[in-house]
Amino acid sequence: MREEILRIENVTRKKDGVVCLDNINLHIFKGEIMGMIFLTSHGKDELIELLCKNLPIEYGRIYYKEELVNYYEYSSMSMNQIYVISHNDGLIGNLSVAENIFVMRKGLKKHLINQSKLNKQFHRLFPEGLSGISPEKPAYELTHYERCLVELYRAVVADCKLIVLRDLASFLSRVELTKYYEYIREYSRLGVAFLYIGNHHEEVFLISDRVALMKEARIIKVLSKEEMTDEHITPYTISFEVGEPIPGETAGMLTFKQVYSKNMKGVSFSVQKGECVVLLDKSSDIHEDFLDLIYGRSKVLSGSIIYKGKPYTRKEARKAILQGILTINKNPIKSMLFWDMNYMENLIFLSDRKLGCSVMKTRILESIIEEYQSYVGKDIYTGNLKELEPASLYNLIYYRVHLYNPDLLICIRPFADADMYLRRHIVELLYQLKEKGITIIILSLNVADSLSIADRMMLMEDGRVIKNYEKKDFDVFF
Amino acid sequence: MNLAKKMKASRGMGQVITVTIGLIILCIVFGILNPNFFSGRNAGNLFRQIAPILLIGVGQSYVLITGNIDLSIGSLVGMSCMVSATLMTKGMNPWMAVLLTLFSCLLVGLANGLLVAKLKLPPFIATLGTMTIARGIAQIVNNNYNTDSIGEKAEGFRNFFYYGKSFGLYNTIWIALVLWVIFNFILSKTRTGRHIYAIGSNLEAAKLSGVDIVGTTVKAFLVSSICACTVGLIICATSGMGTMDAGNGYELYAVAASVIGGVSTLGGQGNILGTIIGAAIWGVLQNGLQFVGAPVAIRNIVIGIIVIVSVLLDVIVRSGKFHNKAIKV
Repeated sequence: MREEILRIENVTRKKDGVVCLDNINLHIFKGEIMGMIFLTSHGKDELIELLCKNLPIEYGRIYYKEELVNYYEYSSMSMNQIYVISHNDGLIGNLSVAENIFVMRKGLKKHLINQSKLNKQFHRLFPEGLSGISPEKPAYELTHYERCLVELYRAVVADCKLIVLRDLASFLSRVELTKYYEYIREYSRLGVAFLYIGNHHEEVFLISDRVALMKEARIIKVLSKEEMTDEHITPYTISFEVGEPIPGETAGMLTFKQVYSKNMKGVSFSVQKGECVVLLDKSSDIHEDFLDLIYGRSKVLSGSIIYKGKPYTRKEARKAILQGILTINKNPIKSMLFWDMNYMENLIFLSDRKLGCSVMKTRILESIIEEYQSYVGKDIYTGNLKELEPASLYNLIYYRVHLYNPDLLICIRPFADADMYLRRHIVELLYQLKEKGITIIILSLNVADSLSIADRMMLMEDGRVIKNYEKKDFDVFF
Repeated sequence: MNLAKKMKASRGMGQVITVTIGLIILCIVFGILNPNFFSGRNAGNLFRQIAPILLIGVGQSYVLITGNIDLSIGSLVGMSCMVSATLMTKGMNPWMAVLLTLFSCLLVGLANGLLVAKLKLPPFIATLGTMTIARGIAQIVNNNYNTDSIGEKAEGFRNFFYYGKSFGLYNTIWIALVLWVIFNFILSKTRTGRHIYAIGSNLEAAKLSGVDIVGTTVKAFLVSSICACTVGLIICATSGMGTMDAGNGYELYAVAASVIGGVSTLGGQGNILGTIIGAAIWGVLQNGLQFVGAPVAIRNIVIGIIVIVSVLLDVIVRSGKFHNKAIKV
C-alpha cells in the first residue's frame, strides 16, 4: 500500500465567519502529483494556509505523513513541512543560491557559514547542476524560472514531503513550464508529493496523476488519469464565447519594423486599429522589452516603431498616456487601484487629464455617474473599495479605461491568477473595450483564454515573431 | 447631497469627526479644571499659538500624504527666521528680505523633492541631511550669533506677520487661515491634489496612470518649505530678531498636528481639515496643561504619547485592509 503523505478528512474551516473550506476530503500519496483546479477562487488561499499551518478548523481531521496534526478539537498552530512555490518570491534576494538552499532552513546548527563548503555541498547534491545556475549567484538575479527551480531544490533539501505549486502558468512561459515539469516528475519518482494548483485544465491535466475540482469552497469532483479529457471537464466549465467578432480597420495603429533591443532580434509586426492581438512570448523575455520601448524606458537599437502613422520616438514614448496608450498591469487589483480613494475617484483618475481641467466640474462628474451607473450599478457609490468583490474591482479597472477611451490598450497577463468565472468576466470587459474601437494588445505567456477575444495571435520566441495565427487558425490550440 | 458633491467632501472625514470630538472633550476638561481657560484673552493667545503649528502641520501633511516625511521643516523655520532677520539688520527692505528668504527656502524644498523622488534617497535620510544643512545655514548666516533687533524700519513687517489685527483677529491667524484655504483647495479640488494622494496610496498605479512622480513629490516638498518659511517669518516678527534655534523640535510638532488630525504616515490618507484639529489639540494640550500647572516635561510626555497612539491606530487600521477578502483574487 502506498504511503500517505496528506489526508484531509471532512475538514470545514471558517474565516471571519464565512465558510472557506466546506467538508473537504483529500488524500495525497507519496510520489503523487495531485492536480487541483479552482473553478472559483473561494477557499484557495485558505486551503494553502491550512496546509502550511495547523490553524483552528470547525470540523474534521488532518494527517500529515500519517500523523494526526490538526483536528477540530485541538489545533496546535504549528507549521507543517510543506513548501509553497508561487509567484511570491520565497528566497532572500541578497543571499546566494547556496545560502538560500542550505542556510535558510530549519534545524541548521552551524553558526559559521563557509561559502566554499556550501558550494561543494551544492555540487555534491546536484552534480548535474541547476540548469547552469551558479551556487554563488545572488537570488535577486534569478529569473522566475530559475527562482522556482531553486525553491524546488530548497524544499527537497528541507525534507518537505509535499510541495504546493501554485499558478505556475501565470508567470512561467510554456517552454519554461515544460522544462519545470521534468523536474517535478523526477522528484515525484523519488517520492516527493506535489499539489499542483492551476486555473486551466489543459495545463493541470498535463502533469497530474489525479485532479480535484474545487468550486465554492468544496471539492465537487476528483478526476482519475483516465477521466482527464475535455469530455469529462466540460460539464464543469463555462463558455468563453462573447458576441460577434468585431472587424478591425485597415488603418495601422502600431507597427514594429525590424526592431532590435536588449532581447528583441528583428521583431516585425503590425497591429490594425480596433484589432485585438495576443503577443504570446514562449521564452518570457520579450514582453519586458516591449513595455520598455512603449514607455521610453529603453531605446530601439535598430529598426523603427510607427504609431498612428508617425515615428514613435523615445520622447513621445515618455508621454505614452498622452499619446493615447494605456496599460492594465498584471494582477491589476493590487497594482492599478488607489485603495485610499473611493470608487468614483478611481474611475475618473485618468479622465481629468484628458479633459484638461485641473478641477473636475460637478456637472461632468454627474454625467459620468449617470453613464457608468448603468454598467456598474450601485458599486459606483462605494466609498471603501475593500467592500467590493474581485469582479467589481475588475469592473472599476476596465471601465476606467473605457471612460478614458485610449487608442491602444496593453493588457499584461489579464487572466493570471483569476478563477474561471472571473476570467469569463474579464473576457466580457475586454469585448466591451473592443466594441468601443480600442485597439488591444494582450501580452501573454500562455494561450489560455486570450484567444476567445483575440483576432490574431503572434507567437514570439528567442526575440523574434516566429508565427502569426489568424482567428480561423485558432482551432489548433483547442 | 448627491454623490459628486459627497465625493468631493468626504475623504478622511471620519477621522476628523473623531478628533474633533476629542478636542471638544479636552476643552471641556480644561475649562472645568480652570475656568480662565475660556477667557477671551486666552482664546486669542491660543489661536495665535496654534497658527504656526497649523502651518507647519499643513506642510508636513502634504509630504506625509505622498508617503514621505520632511524632517527639515524645523530647521527651515530657523533658517527662514535667521536669513530674513539678517537681511533686515543689514538694511534691506523687509519685503525684499521676505522674498529672498522665501526663495532660499524654496531651494531647500526643491532639493528635498529631487533627492527623494529623482535620486530615490529615503526621505528620512534626505531630509535629515537637509535638516542639518538648513540649521547650519541658520547659524552661519550671521557668523554664529543671533541677530540684533530688526529695527523700526521693519515695523510694517512685524505688524503684518504678528502684531497687527484685521477684522478683529490677529494677522498671524489670518495668514494661517489664508494659506490653509489655498492649500486645502489644491489638495482636495485639483488634479495635483489627487496626484499627491495617488502617489501615497499606490505608487505603481500612479506611475501606470501617467502621474509625474518627481514633479508631484517636488510640489509637496515646496508646499512644506513655503509653510516653514512663513512660520520662520512669524517667529522673526514676534521676537523682532533672528534666533538660531528658532524652530527647534518643530518637525515633531508638525508630525503631531498631521497624524493627530488623521494624516497617515503610510501615505495616501488624511486631509488638512484634520490638521487644523490636530494643531488645535496640540495647542489646547500645551495651553491647558500650562493652566493646570503641569511642567513642560509632562506636556511633552503627553503629546508624545498621543502621537504614538495616533500612529499606532493608523497602522492597525491600515494593516487590516490587506487581510480583506476583496483583494484576494
